[in-house]
Amino acid sequence: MLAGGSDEEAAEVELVTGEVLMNAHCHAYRGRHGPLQLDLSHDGKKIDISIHDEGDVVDRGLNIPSTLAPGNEHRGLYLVGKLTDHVEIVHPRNARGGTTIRMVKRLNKLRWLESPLRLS
Amino acid sequence: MVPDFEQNGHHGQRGATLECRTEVVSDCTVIHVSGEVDLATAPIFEKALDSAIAAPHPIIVDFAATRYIDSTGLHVLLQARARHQRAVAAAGLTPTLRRVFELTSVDRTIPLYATVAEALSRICPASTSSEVAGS
Repeated sequence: MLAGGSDEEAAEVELVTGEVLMNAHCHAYRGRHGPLQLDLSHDGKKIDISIHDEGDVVDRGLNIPSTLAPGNEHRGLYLVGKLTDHVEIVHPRNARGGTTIRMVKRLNKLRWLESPLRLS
Repeated sequence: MVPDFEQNGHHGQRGATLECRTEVVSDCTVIHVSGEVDLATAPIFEKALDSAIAAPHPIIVDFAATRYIDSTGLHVLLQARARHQRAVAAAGLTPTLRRVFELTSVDRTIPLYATVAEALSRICPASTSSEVAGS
């Protein structure tokens, strides 16, 4: 796995990244092609991913739902919220529009090491 | 019983690969899904489910060889369940896939089983052990 995390964490990072990219393709670019920038970094404790698009302003706003909508809408962004430790959305990100979604995921191994209930 | 097979090997629009192989075991349709289910390959998954829905059998989707499924794939699966008059179940999920199904509450609509054999024994009790072992 990247950055010393587990295979499961790698799969979760792949999934949330894919969901945000798909969201940009389907909503910001409405299924058309458009530029995307992905910045990924890690500091040994967490993985930080930012995805920038230059697409349209989403009419209904953009947020990470804390509960599942009854009609199963926004399931992808709901998953993003559940599988990461922090998500922030900058929308629009400049005068031309566009969106940045930044996700931070802490590595599970470090959660265990930092736990006050750790056994000696 | 000799299983019937229908195989659909496909590449999605952007190179992602998904293969769906359909097998009929007794009175159950089993769809073996190999690869990644995402926006590009979801139509392949949908086509396999549509074909299975045409038969009056419960459907078991075998995800043992599925490396990735996103919200598009979950949507296709739930849509199939809504259209099908019989049970639709999922089997063989990796821990990550299982967590995704549980987080999104898909498991409330699509029951999850550890293996195809277990799903067959619950959903299609008429299936024999030899048929299950070969699935």
